[in-house]
Amino acid sequence: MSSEKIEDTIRNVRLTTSTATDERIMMAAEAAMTKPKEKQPARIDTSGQIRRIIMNSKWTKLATAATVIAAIMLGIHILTGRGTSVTIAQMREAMQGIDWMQIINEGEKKGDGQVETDWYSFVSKVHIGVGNGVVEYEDFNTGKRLWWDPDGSSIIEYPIAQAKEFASGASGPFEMIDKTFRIIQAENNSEIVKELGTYEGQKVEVWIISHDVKSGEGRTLTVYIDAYRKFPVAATYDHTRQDGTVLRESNIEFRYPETGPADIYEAGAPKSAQIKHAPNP
Amino acid sequence: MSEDRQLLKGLHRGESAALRQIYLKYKDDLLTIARSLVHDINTAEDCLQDVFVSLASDGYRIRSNLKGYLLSSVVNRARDYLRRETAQSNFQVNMQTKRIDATETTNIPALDENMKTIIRALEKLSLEQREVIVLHLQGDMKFREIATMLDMSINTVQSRYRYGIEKLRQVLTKKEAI
Repeated sequence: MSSEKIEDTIRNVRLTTSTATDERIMMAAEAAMTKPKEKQPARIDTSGQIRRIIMNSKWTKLATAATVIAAIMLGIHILTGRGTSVTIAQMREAMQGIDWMQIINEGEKKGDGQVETDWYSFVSKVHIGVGNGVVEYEDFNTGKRLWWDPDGSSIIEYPIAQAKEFASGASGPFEMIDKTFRIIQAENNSEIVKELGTYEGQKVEVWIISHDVKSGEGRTLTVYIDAYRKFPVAATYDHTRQDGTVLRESNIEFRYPETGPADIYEAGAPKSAQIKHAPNP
Repeated sequence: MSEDRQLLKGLHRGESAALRQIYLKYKDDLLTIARSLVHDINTAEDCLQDVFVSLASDGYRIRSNLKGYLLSSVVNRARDYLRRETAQSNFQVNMQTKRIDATETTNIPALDENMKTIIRALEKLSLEQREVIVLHLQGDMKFREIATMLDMSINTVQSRYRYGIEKLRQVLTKKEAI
């Protein structure tokens, strides 16, 4: 049997549950749903519990992937946009000296209250994530990670997993943007389009990259770059469906404050919450 | 994706209708994947139940990528079951295998002989190879997504896939020769 036929056969295997199984599983699941949530610390493995905005809209995944394969890509894949006045070198230069970056993701709809915010200090190597009431404070210099979950009564301290890198290995705001574009371009053979435009009345350069648009799973990342200061100021992430309709998945805003929250309490954890060490797994 | 976001929002609000919709949308895919990873349909259904009980109780923590969560969850459950199974005595394992064969013929009439043969051949692979093949072909995941999920390099994922498919081809060629 050929490899192709084996692959096709495995792909086409389709099992289905019986009605009795459906009833049994739904009964068990609904019972679990109505059970009051226990007040307990968050589990140690929390990957996926706080989703960084960038990462939500695949930025983080891309940046993470980038750290693995950047060495291969670097020097091979070069941004190829034409007709732009903002160069990668200019953006890199403008972003040198930037310490704090704040990323605000309002999700698919602005103003609906669903906001996730992340701060990155590239000097202190501190990351803070706030979303859905959960506050995470990671200090990569000390290797400590604090986690406040409104369902618990304490802030739990964990060690940061050894394999985890600050900002997915990016050394600054520029690199996060740069890697994202490089990876999308390299993986999808996509072209970066650059044009002049305005964003909320501000003169900007618009960088656009799309992939898989004809498949129904298309995504388009658009980044608005301040034409004078050369900083990314906003981004959107859109899904183009097979029928051509476009759904906004993320509205992202970049800010560069002088400083960020000094600790987990400033980031939103209640002052009354005590810090406790996570129990051994 | 947008539909999943809506379902997740419903789940965060504690709506059982959202839970039910998620179940209906993903149950067959997850059952198929679970069955390809473990050795019998009963265990696969147990995995499926564990996945949805876990989703119902912890789902409020998921912010995005519902499908990724469910696939990861079913793989972890399958690993747990196989770990427990390995700890059983040989006698018990043999008995289990016999029960599986009887169950398969009655509970999965929709599968043709070819598919049944391939599912049994999948059992000859290591779990690591099986996971990659099943996630790619039945979970419709790209290699880089699998690499992220399983926390390994894309090269490892691709080589496990290649060797796994080659081993399947050898196993099935031998069968045909017999």
